Amino acid sequence: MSSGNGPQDDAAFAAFLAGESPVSTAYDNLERVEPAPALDAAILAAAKAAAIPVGRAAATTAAPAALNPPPARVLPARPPPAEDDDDDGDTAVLPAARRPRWIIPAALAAGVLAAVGIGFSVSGPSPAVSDGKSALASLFARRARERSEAEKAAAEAAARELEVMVMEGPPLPPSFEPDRPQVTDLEASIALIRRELVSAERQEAPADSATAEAPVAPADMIQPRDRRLAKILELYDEGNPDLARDALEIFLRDFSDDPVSPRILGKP
Amino acid sequence: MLALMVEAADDALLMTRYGIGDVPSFAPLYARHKGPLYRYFVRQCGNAETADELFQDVWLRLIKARERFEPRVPFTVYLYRIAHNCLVEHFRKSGRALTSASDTGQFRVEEIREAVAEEIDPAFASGRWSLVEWDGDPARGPGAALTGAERTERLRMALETLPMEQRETFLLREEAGMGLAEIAAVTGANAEAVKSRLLNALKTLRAAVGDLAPADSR
Repeated sequence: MSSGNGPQDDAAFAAFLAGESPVSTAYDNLERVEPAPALDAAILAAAKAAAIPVGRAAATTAAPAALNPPPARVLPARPPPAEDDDDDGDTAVLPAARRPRWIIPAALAAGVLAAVGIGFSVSGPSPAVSDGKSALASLFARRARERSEAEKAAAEAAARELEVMVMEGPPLPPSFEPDRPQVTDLEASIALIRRELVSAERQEAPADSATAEAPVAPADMIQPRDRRLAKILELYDEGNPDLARDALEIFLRDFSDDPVSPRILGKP
Repeated sequence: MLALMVEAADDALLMTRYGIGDVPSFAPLYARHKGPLYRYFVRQCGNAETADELFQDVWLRLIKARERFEPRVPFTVYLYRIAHNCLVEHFRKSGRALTSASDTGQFRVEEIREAVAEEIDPAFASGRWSLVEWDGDPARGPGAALTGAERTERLRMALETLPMEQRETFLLREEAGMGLAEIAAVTGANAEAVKSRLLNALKTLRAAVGDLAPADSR
């Protein structure tokens, strides 16, 4: 124990570490200031821009083309500070517009289809049909209407459920990112990457490297493509095959025109 | 505790995934840590503009170094190590004393402490902690009950008077939820120094909120 501390100080310290101190209670009552939404947006945009390779950045309209160095800092004008006491420390505070744009149109389309189905059901056979056939037709129309209404309700419930899942789940990828290619044989892919990197090193090494120690290239001169492949190998060799697979699939998405990509995917 | 461990593992996974190019992994990571990190700066800098600047610096540095993140390092330690370095650089550049959060720098630490102590409790100002020996105004004495708002305000003022090391240690504990070892890793101090800083900070803050330790009867 530190000198000068009595047993009550030690008890108070233990209580503090356990989160049971009046100091912690008073601190929790201080205003829970948060960064401004514009600052959040700037940082998230920077994170997105930095992770997208230069070639793909030009194909997107939402992300700026700068990759290295990171984009210039943005310090938006701050609104007056406001009390915000709803922070529970782990709530994702994201713009409400993170839900996919197709949710509402999909729900509307389901409603339109249901309405069309009801319309056809109601119109049914012509008034000239006999009473028996008319009654039967009415029965069929009523059942079709009920079925359409049930389908419509189911579609609306599914849309609501999906909306809840979207709001509560992790944020979905940006709409401009295509699906990732799937790696079927990870081990074969890893072996191919190893050969690829060894081949690349041999091509870069000077002819007399056997007698002279080749200079180590600075990290910023190593091509991003080689660095990404090296990272994939590193993850795999460290016993993280799932992460290595993810990293490889992201590489195949980002470097789809790289000579090694079709070989990894088994394409001619 | 289990929830904290799961969250820590989740942070490491999210940062690793972001480092390999999985952009969507960054947003939940940012959402989880932006509030505590922002308050870490606000409480130490004393103004929102500086806090904004440092806050953005940290995240941009993290983004730039995303590929160098090692999963064996707790993400919070990684993040706050960058934050600590940014803060130290800021104080060095500004040439300010590292013991006051006031941007005006008009008061020396001792003057601030005296002003706060006199308002809080004459016993504290005199260095005597005994509840029994205090003989001042009962309405303002340690026996008088403090409202929650009073405690909070006194804590705020006392927090601003702490030396930077003590304040930072306290904030890393309260905002980032770090243990002593993690705080040591962030600040570069050893565990004993961290404990000492936290103990001293706690003494000051306990006095501020009226949680005084009675002196030993002699």
